[in-house]
Amino acid sequence: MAEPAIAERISSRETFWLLGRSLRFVWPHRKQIGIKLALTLVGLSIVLFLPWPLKILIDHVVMGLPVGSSPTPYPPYVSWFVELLVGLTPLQIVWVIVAVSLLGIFLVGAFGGGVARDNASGGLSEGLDSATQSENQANESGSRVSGLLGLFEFRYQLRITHRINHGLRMLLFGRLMAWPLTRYSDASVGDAVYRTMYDTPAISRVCYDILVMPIANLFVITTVIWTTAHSFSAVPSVIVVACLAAPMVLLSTFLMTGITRRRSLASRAAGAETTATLEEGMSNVVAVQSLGASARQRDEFAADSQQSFKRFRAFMLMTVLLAVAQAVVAVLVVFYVFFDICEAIIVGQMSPGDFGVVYAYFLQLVGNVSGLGAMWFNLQNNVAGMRRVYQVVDAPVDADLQGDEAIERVRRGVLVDNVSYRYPDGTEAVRDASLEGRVGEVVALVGATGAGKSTLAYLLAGFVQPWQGAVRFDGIDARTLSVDCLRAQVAFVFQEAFLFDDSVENNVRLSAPEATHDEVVEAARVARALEFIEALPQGFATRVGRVGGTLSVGQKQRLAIARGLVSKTPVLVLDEPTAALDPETENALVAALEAGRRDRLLVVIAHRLSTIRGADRICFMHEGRIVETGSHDELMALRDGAYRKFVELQVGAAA
Amino acid sequence: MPDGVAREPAPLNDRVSETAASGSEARDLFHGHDDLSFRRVVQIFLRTWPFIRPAIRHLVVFVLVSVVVAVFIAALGFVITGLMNGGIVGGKPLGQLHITIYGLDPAVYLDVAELGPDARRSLRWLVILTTIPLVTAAIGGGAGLYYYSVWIFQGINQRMRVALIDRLQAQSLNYHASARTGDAIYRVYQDTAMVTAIIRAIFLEPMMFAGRFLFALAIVAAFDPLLAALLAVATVPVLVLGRVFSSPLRRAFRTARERNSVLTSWIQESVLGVRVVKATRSEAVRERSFRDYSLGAFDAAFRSRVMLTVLGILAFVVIGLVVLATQSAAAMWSNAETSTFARNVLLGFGFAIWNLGSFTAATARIGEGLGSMNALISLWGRAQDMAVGLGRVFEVLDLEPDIQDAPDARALPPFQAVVRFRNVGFGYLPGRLVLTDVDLAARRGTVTAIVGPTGSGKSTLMSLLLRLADPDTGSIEIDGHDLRGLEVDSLRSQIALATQENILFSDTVLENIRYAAPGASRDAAVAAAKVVCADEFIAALPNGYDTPLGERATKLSSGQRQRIVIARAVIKDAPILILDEPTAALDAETELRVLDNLKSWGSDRCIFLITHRLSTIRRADTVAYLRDGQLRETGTHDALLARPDGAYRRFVSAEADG
Repeated sequence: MAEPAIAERISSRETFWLLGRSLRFVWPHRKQIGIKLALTLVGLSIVLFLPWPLKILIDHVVMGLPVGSSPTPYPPYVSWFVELLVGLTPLQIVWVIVAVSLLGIFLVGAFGGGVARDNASGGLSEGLDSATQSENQANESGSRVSGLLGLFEFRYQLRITHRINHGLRMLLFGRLMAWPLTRYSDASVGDAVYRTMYDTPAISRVCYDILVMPIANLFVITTVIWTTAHSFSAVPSVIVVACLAAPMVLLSTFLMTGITRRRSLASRAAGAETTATLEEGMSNVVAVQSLGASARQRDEFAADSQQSFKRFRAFMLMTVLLAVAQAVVAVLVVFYVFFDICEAIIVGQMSPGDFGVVYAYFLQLVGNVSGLGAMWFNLQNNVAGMRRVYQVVDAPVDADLQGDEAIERVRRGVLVDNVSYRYPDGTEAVRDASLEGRVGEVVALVGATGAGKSTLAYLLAGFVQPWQGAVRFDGIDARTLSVDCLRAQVAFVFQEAFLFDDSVENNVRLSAPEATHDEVVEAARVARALEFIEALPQGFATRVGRVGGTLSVGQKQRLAIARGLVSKTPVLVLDEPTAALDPETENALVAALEAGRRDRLLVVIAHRLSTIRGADRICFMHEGRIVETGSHDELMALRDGAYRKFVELQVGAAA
Repeated sequence: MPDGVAREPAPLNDRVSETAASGSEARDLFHGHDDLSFRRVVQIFLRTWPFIRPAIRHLVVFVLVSVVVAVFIAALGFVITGLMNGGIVGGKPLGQLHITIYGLDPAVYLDVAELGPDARRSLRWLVILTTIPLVTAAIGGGAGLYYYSVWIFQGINQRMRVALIDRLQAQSLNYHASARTGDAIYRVYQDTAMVTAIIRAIFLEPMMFAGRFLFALAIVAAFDPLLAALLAVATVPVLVLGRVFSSPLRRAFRTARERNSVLTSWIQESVLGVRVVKATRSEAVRERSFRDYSLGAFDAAFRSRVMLTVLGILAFVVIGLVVLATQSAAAMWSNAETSTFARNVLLGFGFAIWNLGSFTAATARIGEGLGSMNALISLWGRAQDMAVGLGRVFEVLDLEPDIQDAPDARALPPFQAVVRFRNVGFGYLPGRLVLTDVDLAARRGTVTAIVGPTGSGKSTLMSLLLRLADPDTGSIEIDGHDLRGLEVDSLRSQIALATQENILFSDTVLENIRYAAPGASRDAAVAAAKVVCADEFIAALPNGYDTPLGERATKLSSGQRQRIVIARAVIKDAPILILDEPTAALDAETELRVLDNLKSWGSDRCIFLITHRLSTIRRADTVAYLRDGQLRETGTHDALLARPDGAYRRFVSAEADG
C-alpha cells in the first residue's frame, strides 16, 4: 500500500535538504558530470554562433551589402570569421559558408542559423503517467548538438546516468533486503518495485537539473545579454528587455510551484497503488479465481488506474498552465522590442540580417530563463521521488538493531532470558518468556494458535529484537552480534515454504552456497524430497516456476526442510513445517531430524504429538507466556496441567 | 529485409510449458530476437483499433480542430512573413493580398520599387494586429489540444490495461505456474503505455508530418521546382536508413524490455521471499544477481538508445546536406533578384522575385518540410520500440484462456444431489499425470475426506472441480451436468473454497472475510467468523473487524489467518464447500470446535475436506484415499480400517504409531 502520508506537502526546507543529500550522492561522479558540463558548454557555444552565418548570408548575399559595412558591429567571437570574408564576392561567400556548414553537419549536426539544427536524443515514447515517464528519466541523456560531438556527448551522459541509477538501485535493493521483517508487514511488494525502479531516476535527473542546466542556462543568458549590449547598443530597449526578461519569467514560474508539487506527489502515490493492486491480484490468482473475484479485482485495478490517470492529468494541467503563462510573457516582451528593432532597421541603424540574430537570441534567452525557472519546478517534480527513495534508505535495517561482534559457532546453547516482545502496533506477543536450549537437544514450542510461538522463534533467530530481556548465545547477548554472525548460527524453516524461481538445487543450497552436490542430495534424501526431485524432468537442475507453482505444498515444504538441513548451523528452527506433510513423510522426517540433532539445537513449533513427544523439552505457551516447561512425561504428570489438557484433546480426537 | 522470413512466434502457452520443462527461460530472455516482420508490426498496430474505437469521435474532433488551428497559423504566418521580412525589414513592396486584406493604398505599398520609411513604419501595427490572433490560436489551441489529447489517450490506455489484467486473471493455473508476476506488472505498466504513444505515433503524427512535408513541397515548388525536387529526392536515403535500422532496433528494444522485466521480477521475488533470504543469509547472492540483472538492463537500454540516436544523426546528415544546398541556391538567387517560378501565384504575397521575403518564406518552408521528415524518421525509430511493447501486450491478450465457456454453455442450476468424478485423468505438464482414472461420487449432506500422502493429487482434484483446469480424460459432473458445458461463473458461484495457502488481501479483516461476497452485511461476516471460532480474536484486535491487514498479514498467526480464510468460504454460503487442509495450522482444540461448527452449519451442503488429521478424517462420511494420483480406496473410516492390509489402514497406523 502506498503510504498515504506521502501525499502531504513537502516544505522548501526539506526540498533543499533532499537536494543536498542527492548532491552528496552523485558527488563520486563529479568528474564525469564536469566533463558533461564542458561538453554542454561547447555545444551551446556552437548553438550561439549559428545565427551569425545566417546574418552574413542575408546581409551580404541576399541584400548584397559589402562585407565590413554592416551598421552593427560583430561580436569578437564572430568578427574573426567575418574578416575572412572581406572582399569576397557573394558567390564566394556562399562557398565559404557551404564549406563551413559541411564541416558543421558532420561534426555538430548544425549550421547556418536555426533553420537546420539537430539535437541528439534517445528518448522513447512514454505513457501518460509518472511511472512510464521515469523510464526515460532513468535513461536521461541528450545533447544540444548532434553529429559526432552530439553522439559522443549523448553516449557519455547516458553512461553517467546509468552508473548513477545502477548505484541507487543497488543501494535500495540492498536496504530492502536488510529491512527488519516487522517493517514488511506494512510495506507492499508493489511499492518496493515502484521505489526501486521508478523513483530512483529522480535523483540522477535532479543532479543534471542543478549541476548542469543552471550553468548552461546562465552561460547562454550572459552571452545573449553581453552580445546584445555589444552589437545592438543602438536600440536600448532590446538591452533593457533582455535584462528584464529574466526576473519576469522567473516570477511567473515561482507562482506555480506549490500546486504542482502536491499534484506530483499525488500522482506518484496513485501509481504505486495501481502497481500494488495489480501485484496482489496476480500473486494471489488462485484465491482470486476460486473466489470468483476476478471481476472485482479487475474493477479495483481499473479504479486505481483511473485515479492514477486523473492525478496525472491534474499534474499535467499545471504544467500546461505554466507553459502558457510563460509564453504570454514572452510574446509581450517580443511585441515591446519589435517596434524599436523595426525602427532601427528602417533608419539603417541595424541591418536586415540583425533581425534574424535578435530573434534567434531572444528565443534562446526566453528558453534559458524559463529553463532556469522551470528548474525549481522540475525539482519539485522530482522531490517526491527523491523522498520516497530516501525513506527506504533511512529506514533502520537489521544491522542498525544489531551489534557488530562475532562469535564462533555456538557450542553450548541458547538462553531466552525473561524476554518480552511487542509488535509496532502494540500487540504484546511474548511476555516474560524464559527458556534454555542446549546444542544436541530438541525443544518443542507448543500451544494454541496465536500463543506467540512463532514470535518467540523469530526472537530466537534475531528477526525481531526483544523489548525486554535478552536472547543469549553461549551467554552472549544476541543483540551485540552482527547480523551475519547471528544468521550463521540459526537456520529457519518457515511455515509457508517459499521457493525462488531458480533450480531445485540452488533453492536447497540457498543458505549454504559452499555445499557440494552430494550434500544437497543427502539433505534432500533426509527431507524425503529425493524421490520426487529425481522424477522431475531435469532432476535437481529443474527450474522451479513462480513460487514453486508446479510443486505441491508438501513438496515445497520438504524442499524448505532440505534447505534448513543443508545449512550446518548450530541452531535450526522449524516453524510448523510438518503441518502440511502426510504422516508417513512426517514420521520419517522426525526420525531423520532426531538422528541429525547431535550437533545442533533443534527448535520445533509443532502441534502433532508424534513430533512433540520426542522433544527433550516442551515449552507450552499461552497468551505469550511460557506456562509450562518440561519433558512430555513431566508435563503429563501435572494434574490439570495446560499441556496435559492439550494432549488429551488431541489424543481423544485421534484415538 | 532480414526479418522478412521471420518465423512465426510459437504460441506462448507452448513456450511457457516448454520453459517450465527445460529451464531455458533465462537463455530466451537474454538474447533478444526480432520475431516481428514488417507485416506483423503493421498487424500489431492495427490491433489497437478496438481500444481506440470508443474514443474515435474525440480523435476526429481532435484532428479536425488541430488541422484548422494549424492551417490558420500557417496562413497568418505566411502573411506576416511578407509584411515583416519583405516589407519592413527588406523594404520591398507588398503583395496584392496584403493590400486587399488590410485595405492599404496600392500606390504606397504595391506599385513602388522600394517602400518609404513611413510606409514601413506603419506596417508594424499590422504585424502586431495579425500576430495577436496567431499567438492566441497557437498558445490557447496548443495547450487546450494537448490537454484534450492527454485525456483521450489516457482513456485508451485505461481500456487496454483493464483488458490485459482481465485476460491475465482469466488464465488457468497452467499459465500462472510458470509466468512471472513481475513480468505481468511490467507488461501492464510499461507496455500498455505504448498504446497512447502509438496512436499518436501511428495515426496522428505521421499524418501531421506528412501533411506538413507535402505542404512545404508544394510551396517550395512554387518558388522553384528544382528545390522541391531536391526536397523530394532527400526522402529516398532517409527511408532507406529507416528500413535498414528497423530490425536491429526492434531486437535491441526487445532485449531492453525483457531485461527490465526480469529485473522487476527479481525485485519482486526477493521482497516476497525476504524472510527466506534473511534466514539463509543469501542477501549477498541476491544482490549480486540483482547487480548483474541491473547492469544487463542498463546495457541493453544503452545499446538501443544509442542506436536510435545514431539513426537520428545519420538522417540529419542527409537532411542537413539538402537544406544547405537549397539555402545556398536561394541565397544566390535572391542576390541576383531572379524571379520566382510561380510568380503569378506568389505575387499576391509579395514574393514574385527572390528577395529577403521570398528567401525567408522559402527557406522556412524547406526547413519545416525537412524537419518534418526528421521527426518522422525518429518517430519511425521509436515506433519499433512501440511495436515490441505492443507485441508483448498482445502476447498476453492472444492467450486464449484454457478455461472458456463453451459457446453453448449453460448456467448450473442450483445444486441438488451429487458431484461425480468419472475416470478423471489430468497432468499439468504433458506426459506427467498427476491424476489417473479417479472415480468418486459425493452426495449433498455428506462430508467427503480426501486423504493421501503429499503430492498424491488431492488439491489438484479439487482445482478440477473448480474448473481451474479441465481434466485431460474423463469428466466431472454436478447433478449430471458436465462441467465443460457450464458457465464458469455459475459453477464457481456455487462452490466455496478454503485453501491451505491462506491468502489474505491488504484490506481490513471485515473486507477480507466478505471478499467473495462483497454484498454481505457486517452481521453476516461476524456470524461467519463465529462459525470458524475467529470472532474472539478478531474482536481483540486493535480495531476489531476494521483492523487493516498488511499485504502479507504477518501480524496474525497462521492459525488465525486460516480461520479468516475459512470464514471467507463460509460467508459465501455456497452449496459445495471445499476445505483444502484449512485446519492444518490450528491447534487440536480449535480445530475440533471449528469442525463441529462447520458440520452443523453444513448439514445440507456437500463438503470436501482434504486433510491428514485422523481427528478430522473420522468425522467424514466418506474417506477417499488417494495415492500417486490414483483413488485406492473409498468408504467410511471404520470400513476402511476394517480391511486387513488395506492401504488406508497402513496409512493410519503410520500416523498412530508416531
